[in-house]
Amino acid sequence: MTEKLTAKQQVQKREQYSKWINRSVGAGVVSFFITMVVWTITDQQLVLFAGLGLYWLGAIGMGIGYWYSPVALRDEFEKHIEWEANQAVSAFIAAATIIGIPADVVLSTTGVYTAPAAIRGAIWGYMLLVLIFGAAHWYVKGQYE
Amino acid sequence: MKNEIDVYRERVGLSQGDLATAVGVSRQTINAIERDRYDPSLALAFKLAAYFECRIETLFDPDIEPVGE
Repeated sequence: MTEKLTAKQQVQKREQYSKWINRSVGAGVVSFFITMVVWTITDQQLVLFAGLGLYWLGAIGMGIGYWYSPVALRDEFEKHIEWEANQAVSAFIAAATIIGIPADVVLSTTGVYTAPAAIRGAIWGYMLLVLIFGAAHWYVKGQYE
Repeated sequence: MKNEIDVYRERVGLSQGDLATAVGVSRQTINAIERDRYDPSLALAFKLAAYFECRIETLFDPDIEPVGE
């Protein structure tokens, strides 16, 4: 049986696991940049792959930290801030998709204007995100029924 | 939502950080609640009321519109 943590223990665990996760990610990112520098000197592809491996190890460390943490790593206010930021991003993506997709289709079909590939890729990528959001929304809603 | 958290907290001589640790949230969370910038969850509101040994409606004034007919 898992012992219930006190509020103080919850805060301590949150700080402890956050620190481990930050260190893991930090070590991964720093290792990646160091190996990039080493690669520019040695020109050995193996060094690049080693850097990538270390970076992934850092990311795996982050995942393990999140998975095994006995408490949520962000409290309710931090989650609320993330939710508000997500709202802003979602509004931007929705606007870019609603305005951008029809405009891209009409303008490129008529030959009036063809946006750069990066812009078109982003807009169509946003549409994919909207579809993924719709699927996730449908799934999560189902969990409450 | 208006609240009396800062009054109760100062009455017992606690800092925002102390209160945050006591109820398991960050200091920023307590600060945002005290400044009416963030409405806490029901669970956190109950924790705060339990900590100060008062009723939840003593601590928070939801300022809601009349309900029912």
